Amino acid sequence: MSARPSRSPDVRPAPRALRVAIERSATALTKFMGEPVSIKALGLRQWPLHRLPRALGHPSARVVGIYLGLLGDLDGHVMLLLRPRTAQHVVARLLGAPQRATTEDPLVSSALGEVGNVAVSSFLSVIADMGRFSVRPTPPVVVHDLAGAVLDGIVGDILDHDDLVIAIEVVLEWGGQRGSGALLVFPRPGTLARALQALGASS
Amino acid sequence: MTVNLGEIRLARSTADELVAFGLGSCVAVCVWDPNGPLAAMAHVVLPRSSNGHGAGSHSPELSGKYADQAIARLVKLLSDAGGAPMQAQWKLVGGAHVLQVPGLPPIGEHNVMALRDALRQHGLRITAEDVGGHAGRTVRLSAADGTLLVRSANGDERVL
Repeated sequence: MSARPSRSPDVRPAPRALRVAIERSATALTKFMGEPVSIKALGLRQWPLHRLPRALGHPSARVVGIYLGLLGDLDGHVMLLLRPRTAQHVVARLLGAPQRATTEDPLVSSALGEVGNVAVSSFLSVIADMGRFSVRPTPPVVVHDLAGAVLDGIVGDILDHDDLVIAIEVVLEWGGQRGSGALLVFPRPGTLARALQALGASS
Repeated sequence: MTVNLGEIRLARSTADELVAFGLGSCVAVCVWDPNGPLAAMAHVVLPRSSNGHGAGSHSPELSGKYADQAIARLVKLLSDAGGAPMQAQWKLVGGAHVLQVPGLPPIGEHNVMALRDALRQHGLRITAEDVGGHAGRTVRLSAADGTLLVRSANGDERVL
């Protein structure tokens, strides 16, 4: 997935507030899951439109996406992408038995959605406190599809006036597997500059 | 040859294959002209630029980003390469509604409608399409014979 240990030139260091927020998210997930979940912020990455799906891994790779919208001062989208094997591990852990990570089962969808809620709510509470602005997530929506297809709707929504996406790049380690997922935050154009300024980073 | 988001590519060799991976709301416009043969594909992201001058609307790299501009550019590309757009096969694949979220518009549906309109305005007929639904698709267009292979995220395969 997106996780790469080395930092490329188009990746800028993440502001401290974002690093703290990501760590808080990992702590909340660790408590919720009862096993270590590690998320490390690599930085802010700027992707040209046509390269975006490749930056997240092969666009035809199957993924489980847990989507939450962002409302308030930081307007945009958050997507937690998990490899199917990781999603299966998460579901088995939460529901107590091996299950297919299919979105057709409401119980499985609900369990995965709750993971998204925990990860994103803890992340947002830090951002909101440190940036002193109001932001709240929408209820989660879980999809199981091709990586490119999962991201198309978001890309279409934010890229009408811009050809660049700025997202927080992280390394996610779950169930002992490094690179098992990605947490992507897509601020709508216009809100990113305000958010970074509020968090003490230049835009 | 991979056709990424917003790109248009032309294949002149019969050994070439044009591929768009992981189409969700995006639509691949696939053109095959037997005189040549020539094959072209546009990976359309949005129905139209908001004001006719949206980002990427003048960028050669992203000439396929908007439906209303992609068709005109495909027609010109084919004509410049010695093809005959009116005799070519025009096929649409994609336009699914994968991420069903309140507040996010059904961009896939809008893309398909905008492309049908644009093709009609150019007097071009759609020869086949596999559009809509809720699953992503990967599409491969053979430059040799125009065969279009559509593989859906739910495992279905179709030849158009």
